[in-house]
Amino acid sequence: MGERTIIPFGPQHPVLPEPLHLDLILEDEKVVGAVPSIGFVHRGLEKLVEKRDFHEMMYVIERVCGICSFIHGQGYVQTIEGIFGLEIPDRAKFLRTIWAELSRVHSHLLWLGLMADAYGFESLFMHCWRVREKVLDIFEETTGGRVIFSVCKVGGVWKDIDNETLKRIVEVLNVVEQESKALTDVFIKDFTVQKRTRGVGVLSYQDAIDVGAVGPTLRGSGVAMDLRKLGYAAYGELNFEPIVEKDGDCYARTIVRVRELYQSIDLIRQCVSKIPDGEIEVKVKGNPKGEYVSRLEQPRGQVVYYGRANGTKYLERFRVRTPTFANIPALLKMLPGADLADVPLLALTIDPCISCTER
Amino acid sequence: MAEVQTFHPVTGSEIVNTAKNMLKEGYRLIQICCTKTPTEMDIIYTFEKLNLQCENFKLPVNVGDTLPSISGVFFAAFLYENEIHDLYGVNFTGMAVDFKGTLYETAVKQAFSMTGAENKE
Repeated sequence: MGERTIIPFGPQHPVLPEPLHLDLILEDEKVVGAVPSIGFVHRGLEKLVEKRDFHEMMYVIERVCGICSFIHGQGYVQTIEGIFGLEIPDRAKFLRTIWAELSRVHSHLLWLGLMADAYGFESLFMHCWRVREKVLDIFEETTGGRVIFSVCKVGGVWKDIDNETLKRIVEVLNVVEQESKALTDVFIKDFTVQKRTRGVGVLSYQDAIDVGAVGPTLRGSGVAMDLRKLGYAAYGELNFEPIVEKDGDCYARTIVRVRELYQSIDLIRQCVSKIPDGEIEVKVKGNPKGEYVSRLEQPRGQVVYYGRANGTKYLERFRVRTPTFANIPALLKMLPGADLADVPLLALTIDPCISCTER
Repeated sequence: MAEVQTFHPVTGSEIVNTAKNMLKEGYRLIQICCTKTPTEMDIIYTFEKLNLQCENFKLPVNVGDTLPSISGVFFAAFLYENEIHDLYGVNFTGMAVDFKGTLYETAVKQAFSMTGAENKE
């Protein structure tokens, strides 16, 4: 047994755009344990429900994260609609699904870029983000925003997308798909990428379930669990199956995201072909009273919202359990056995979003 | 359509056995959430099966109470329990990792244990 040393990793580290700290326990160069620390930028956004009425709070919840902003907004309004027992129009459901899947495309392209950057593939990083810009352009055209969209509302959506624009979105996504193929081939086939990711940070099927892993981290370990199969928004009318890889290593988690990128483009095509005409909102009367747990699939994995309302315009509680929060225990299971040099890449494969975690 | 949800009542002395039973039935822990209103304070435990079936349990609690940790049953519980300790002032015994109040070093201790009405006072 080598001598044990404790190496601090983060909170400021080149691979982490946001602060996460790990105390890595090492024997020589091998990690044998890790203790995480978060809370460096905790914002207490959930507490604002006591001071913002339930309509305004949507704009606060969107700001939990700049990457999953739309799905946070969608999760919030879905929770309030759950308390009201409100059914929204079908067209609004399809529009929410289209924006949610566009969010997944841009999030996965962003992550692939960060992963390329972590390997040292600077040009690959820049190309991933160049392709992602086309998706942000769609957001700008359809919502007016590139990061925060503010199109969800309790009872539906604020904006419609006309059918001509929907067709044009599909044309843009055809180009995104074509250009992404050349990029994702590098992640799938390149020898040096595989050398860095295959067999690294293995999370077994049973461990992934036991520690509560979510999203691509869970599905990369062979667990076919995807909250979209609940059928919320328009997912119940779309044809898809969870993307699963069996090896549980960094490579498997990468491949899940690569395949989900194309799956999301396919889901948007399905939405555009099936979206019905009609209203995009129902009128909401009164204030919510009751409690509701809402679950959605974000690009990073399952997100859980809990809302409690007392019949006034202010909620008593709104809780966001983000995917990264759920994936931190999984990270602690993956780290033992890894080399110190692999830790930055390994940490990146859970796609950590500290902004979400420090809501 | 919104699903009908039930919040099963549970007590502090029952929670570890409840967690063990849920594990035996194939559930996993997906969240623990504390909520405090001017009249009551609860901890909500949410468990989920791989087929996405979900169960919620509600445990009434007060600031300063001590509860047994379920991190011996569901390892991931330690993060939620440390969070509830730091933000609401509920203590847990036997946590897999105990941050001893340093997970969230907020300017105001147990910042979420005061409700909006108390804040205004």
